[in-house]
Amino acid sequence: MGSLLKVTNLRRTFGSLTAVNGLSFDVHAGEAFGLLGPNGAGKSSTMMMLCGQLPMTSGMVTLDGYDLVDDSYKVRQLLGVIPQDLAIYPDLTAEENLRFFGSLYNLSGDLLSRRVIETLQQVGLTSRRNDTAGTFSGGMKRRLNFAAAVLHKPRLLILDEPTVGVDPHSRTHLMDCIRSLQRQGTAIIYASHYIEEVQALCSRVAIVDHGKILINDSLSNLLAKVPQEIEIVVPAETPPQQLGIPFDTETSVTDAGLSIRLSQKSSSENVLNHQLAQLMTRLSEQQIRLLNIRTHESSLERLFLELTGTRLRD
Amino acid sequence: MHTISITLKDLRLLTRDRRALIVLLALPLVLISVIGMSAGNLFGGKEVVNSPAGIVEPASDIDATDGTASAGRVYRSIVPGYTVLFVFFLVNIMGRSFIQERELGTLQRLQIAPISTVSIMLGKTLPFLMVSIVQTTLLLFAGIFLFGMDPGSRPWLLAPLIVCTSLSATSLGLAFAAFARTDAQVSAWGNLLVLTTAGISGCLVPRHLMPESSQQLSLITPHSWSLIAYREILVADVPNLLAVLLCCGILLLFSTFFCAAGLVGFRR
Repeated sequence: MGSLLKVTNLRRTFGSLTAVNGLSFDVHAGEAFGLLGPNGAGKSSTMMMLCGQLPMTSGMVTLDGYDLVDDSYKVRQLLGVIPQDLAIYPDLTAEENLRFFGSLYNLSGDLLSRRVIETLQQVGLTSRRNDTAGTFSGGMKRRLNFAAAVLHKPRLLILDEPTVGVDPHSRTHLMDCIRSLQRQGTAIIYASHYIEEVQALCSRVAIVDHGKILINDSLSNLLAKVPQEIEIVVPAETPPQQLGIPFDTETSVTDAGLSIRLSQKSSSENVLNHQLAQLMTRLSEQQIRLLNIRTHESSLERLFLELTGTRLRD
Repeated sequence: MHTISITLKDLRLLTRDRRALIVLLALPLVLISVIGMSAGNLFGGKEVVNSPAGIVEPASDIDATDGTASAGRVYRSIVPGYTVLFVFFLVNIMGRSFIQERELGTLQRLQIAPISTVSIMLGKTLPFLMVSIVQTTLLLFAGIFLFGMDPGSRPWLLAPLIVCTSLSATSLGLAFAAFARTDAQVSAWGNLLVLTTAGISGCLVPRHLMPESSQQLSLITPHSWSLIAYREILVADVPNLLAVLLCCGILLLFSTFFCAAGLVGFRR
């Protein structure tokens, strides 16, 4: 299947600062592509360039074969954007907001009316269609914000932190709406600091830092890079050699005690279970007290922190 | 079509903002009444004035036996002056409208949509042009029917003048909105711009009462050309059509310049 969106060597500089440094990726129709990165990584600049709001310093972007620069009008017709901040008129009703935004995408007459009804239903705002958006709760405003972006059935939908400040019910609803759009063939680019959302929604994820893509792979391959771990905590004074663990097993002394991490290095769960059984037997034989035992599942967050570090960003 | 969508949206928002409508429509009427009643004779006295449009106003008789000017003479000085002043107050309201669009995040949505910058600019300017024309027409009607202002022998000449004045005011508003970035800038710079130009142009004190040098200085403002044309239409026995057209043409030149400045500002 060909790519719907192709981004090639995207660059953006602000004076001496290179915010985006040669990003290349593609997104297929019906695919949800996650874009993760710490603050200042270049995600927002990348999103703004894809929307046509920020000129590229160099590079090429095509959407469904149309060039972002040469066929700007056509690309914008195919694009839907849900910005990080709300972008609706509080003094207009929900229906008036959608009718206006729909008209900007050349929707009119019965088609516009039908799309407004469908979209209000999709986001669960039918009963509030005649109320001004300023009277809505934060979650409802986010849903209307979403509706305004998908009304014209875009081929590519870009979401930049769409669930900030949203209550759990609205968030779940929005995620369901996104999945529904995916099933209809819309390509999704999802940027969020909520890694669990990206992990729940996206089939491919790129982790960006300092304007470059550190890793870009399917979710399953990324999770395989951070295998499941079991952490066992015993008293800090326990000599590691007394435990009979392999020399490359990760151990560290923490406030809780001596932490031993058994990692699932192969695809077989039995290896990990075997290691655990051996260690437990050893603890029993040596009468070493077990202080704590917990599992660390494979997670995107662990990979993200490993790749980008845990230093606080501006 | 996009321009029309934006225009209708902004008209809807404008008509729902009752405070703005009061400022635009009711306040000028109140001000004109108060000024007319309290300081009218100052503006209604004998006058002779030369202007680049070649208007020479003959000395007129004082009507009342106690030497005071008639209400008609008083208000034909005040009504045009304050009408033009309030038309250019739109600069502030337009600036605020664009700032609000930016603050709401909807300007970003407009820029992402498949519409041109010119459509956005036009769409946001047309509502204010319409409001300006309605406002000016209402104030002139009030001047004629409430305050007894004489509309002159060719009142139909007021129509093109109203349109050209409104065009220059709204295009100035557009240029201002293109460069103002915050509410504070709109308040500070907008008020400074409006009041300064009103002061030097003859809106607050009729041009014919200003010194010759001030009258010459006033010609750098579009307000002044509008007031010259109003004077020609309302005062002259037979208004000089060419003089009025000249003033309208200059107002259109101002509009073109302001629009160009606005386009440069928005594209920046």
